Amino acid sequence: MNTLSQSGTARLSTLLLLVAIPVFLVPLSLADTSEEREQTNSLKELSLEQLGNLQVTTASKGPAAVWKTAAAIYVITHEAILRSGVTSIPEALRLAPGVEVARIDSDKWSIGIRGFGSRLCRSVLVLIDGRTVYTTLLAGTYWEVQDTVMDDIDRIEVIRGPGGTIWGPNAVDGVIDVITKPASDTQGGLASALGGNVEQGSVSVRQGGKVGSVDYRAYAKGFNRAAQFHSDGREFDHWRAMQGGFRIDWAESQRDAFTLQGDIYDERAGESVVATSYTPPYSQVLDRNALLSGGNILGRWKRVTGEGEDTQLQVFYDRTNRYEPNFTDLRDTFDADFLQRFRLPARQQITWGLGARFSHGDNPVVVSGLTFEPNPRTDHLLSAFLQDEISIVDHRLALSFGTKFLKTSFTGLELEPSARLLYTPTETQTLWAAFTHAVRTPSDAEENFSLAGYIGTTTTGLPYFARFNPNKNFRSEELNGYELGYRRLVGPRLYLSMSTFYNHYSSLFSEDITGSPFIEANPAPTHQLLPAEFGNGLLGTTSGGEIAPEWQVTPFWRLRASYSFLEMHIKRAPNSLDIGSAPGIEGSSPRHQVLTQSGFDLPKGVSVDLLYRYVSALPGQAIRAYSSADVALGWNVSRQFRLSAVGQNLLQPHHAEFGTDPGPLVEIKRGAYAQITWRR
Amino acid sequence: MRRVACQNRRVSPVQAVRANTVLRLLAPMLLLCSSLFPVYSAAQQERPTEAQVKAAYVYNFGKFVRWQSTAPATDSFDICVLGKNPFGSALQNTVSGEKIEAKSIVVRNTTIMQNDARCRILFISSSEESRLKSILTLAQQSNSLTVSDIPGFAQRGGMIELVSQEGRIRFEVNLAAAGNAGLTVSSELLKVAVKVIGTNQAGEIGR
Repeated sequence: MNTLSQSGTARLSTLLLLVAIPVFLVPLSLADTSEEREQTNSLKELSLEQLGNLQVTTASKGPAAVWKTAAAIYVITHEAILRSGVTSIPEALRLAPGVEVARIDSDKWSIGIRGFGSRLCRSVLVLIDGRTVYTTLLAGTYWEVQDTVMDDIDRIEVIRGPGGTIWGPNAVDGVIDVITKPASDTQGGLASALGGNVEQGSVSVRQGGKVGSVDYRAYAKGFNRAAQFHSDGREFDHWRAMQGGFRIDWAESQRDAFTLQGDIYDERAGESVVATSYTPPYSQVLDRNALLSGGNILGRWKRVTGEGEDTQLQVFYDRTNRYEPNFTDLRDTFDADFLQRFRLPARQQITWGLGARFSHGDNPVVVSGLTFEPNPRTDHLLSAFLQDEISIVDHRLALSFGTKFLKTSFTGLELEPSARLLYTPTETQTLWAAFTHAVRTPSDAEENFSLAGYIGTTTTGLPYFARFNPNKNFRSEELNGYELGYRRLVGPRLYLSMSTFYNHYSSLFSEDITGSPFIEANPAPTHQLLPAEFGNGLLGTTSGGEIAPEWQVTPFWRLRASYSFLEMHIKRAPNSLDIGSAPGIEGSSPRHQVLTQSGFDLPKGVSVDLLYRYVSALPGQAIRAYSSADVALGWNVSRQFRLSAVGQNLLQPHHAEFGTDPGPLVEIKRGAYAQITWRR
Repeated sequence: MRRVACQNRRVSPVQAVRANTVLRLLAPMLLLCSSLFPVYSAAQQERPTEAQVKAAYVYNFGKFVRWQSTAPATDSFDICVLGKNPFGSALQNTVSGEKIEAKSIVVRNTTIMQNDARCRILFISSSEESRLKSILTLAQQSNSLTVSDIPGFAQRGGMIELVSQEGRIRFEVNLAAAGNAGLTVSSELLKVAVKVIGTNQAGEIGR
């Protein structure tokens, strides 16, 4: 099969990258210590004004927030996002190791962390500025409605693995936290426009200002994206969206800070779905626009009462309207979260918190083969957590342990304990180890959902369907995760982080056949039915690791790279009724992923970034291994203007990354766009 | 919403692998080739590092701030760096051979606060962020000019905060904090600062 030779060449190309680069570049990096001395001498001659106008290069330093974290955390910086030319949050996630991002079509992505990548990404907790965007309707995140002005993103923190007790529910395989800049960092005006062949057009405007001690900003953005490549000509995935929002930050005193922020959006995302109904035509492929709209508003208060002592309260409301060709979701979500940190004697820091989320959903029937019962419904999720961080040896060894308590409308009380150890033997390295027990709570999709699929016609002329019936006894999926990680600053220019993990899963989502086919009269007309339900019939393990160096090779060249390795062994539990879905799950996550982002700073404010990635085959999706490359050129013409030109997916005219859409695989096109940004 | 059956692809596997291999091996080469151009040594000299520019600032602050005559007399003008040294050798290189207040400048690295007022300038490294409040309280009694690049330093009572703005290093001054410690900040320094918070009670500033 192709996979064997491909994994061989994969290893070869990976080795090439990791070995050849140091060989070429060590002589260049040793050259400049005497030049440094000359430089400091000339700098002190400058006036204060001149000093303030110099452009500096920042050495690759171990980011402070990351250093003391006993988890596999990676921070995608604003600079990395800006220079790579990515235009959406899912595309930006490709820059982190261990994250599998596969673009299904123009408006859908399959995302996973350390396995289980799928359109809805059920085991990763996703937040934007502390607001959970994970939906408990279908357990996952609708990536096509998670957007913001890319320039407003301060950083995206990606935690691979369960991450610890302080993160909200369903942070099983990872946490993605998109953090936008505070309003004080986005003062003045910004306008940007881009156009290209795939990214057809996009305009963003943002205005920030200050009134007394209140900083604010407001933005509006709109875009139009073309359909991707379809070998059968069905270009259903055009995508148009508009979004606006604001943020207000008030630092009332040194103690109290308030934030209020909100967004509204309206989109037409083209999609292709299979609609099943009990009346003819029993199964249809509908290529239609999904009408997605909604908004959210969030308020947060933080009071700092001492060193490492603070209290936070956050409340948000979210409205989601999804009119898809085969179902509708109209949902209101209310969430309140409280968090407090304080110190205890004997060098301990306690963090504890409470959370409550209520989600009311109305799902009127669109096609008879897809229903929610009862309807409408209100789900709730209550959580609490408690964590103790003990500094056993000051600045050297720290132990933290704690647990989360979870109770949802579908489950009783569940505990998620975690213990982490952080060892800092020298100033420049840290070693950490963690154990976590995490759960993925059930969603409406398992407990209240009926989904039928048309199989064919019986010999007696009756239509024959298979249907996943609601499973009121669906339990939480469980994980016991063991992780180890190491971070090192090798000299002032090279930062290395690596991690490895072993995850043991039980009660995993399975597709169970619950009986033999029988004749059913209701819903009419009479048909033959094969009963099925979503069960907890799979178990297994995943293991692997990631390594991510960040190297300021020369003052004008920075290299970021990562290699991720994943091995999945999923199988049926004893006595399980699963139809054999395990190989498909294993085959939908890549075994190897490589990413390199090479950034050059040229004279006159020009920057060039070359991105290369390799993803190994996905046999469960009939996807071959592929490589892709992007080139992003940026030119800071003046303090106010920036021009950029970006070419994406340059290595092939089109290539497929993931299945799921009905029909032939949709392939992602080669594209290019030009952008102009004006800033005041 | 659920997966549909996989479809078989009929493509010559050998061709596909070969094409993929060539491209996959070529692409990393593109990244490596650029390293062979020696052209950019000029670009190298145009860009100082953050550490070098911050060191130049610290040296300049020493020239534009006046200490009270009641401050203890010392043989040398001491610049103390508290916590993990972010300058490398840049600060030492900048001040060697220079004088402030007609005294030679000495750079000292410390991990504990010395409240004997010998430090004219106290640079607080970002490694000390968690102890900032207690450090500033102690520093008040010592007539030192406190400088740091910890975000929010000036707001929290530090005197001069080095900030990063669009790839450039600038600074903010907390005049009230400086005044309370008996330091006089030159108007030339204040003119260039991006932000000045708290005005001196006496209202008079300048050389």
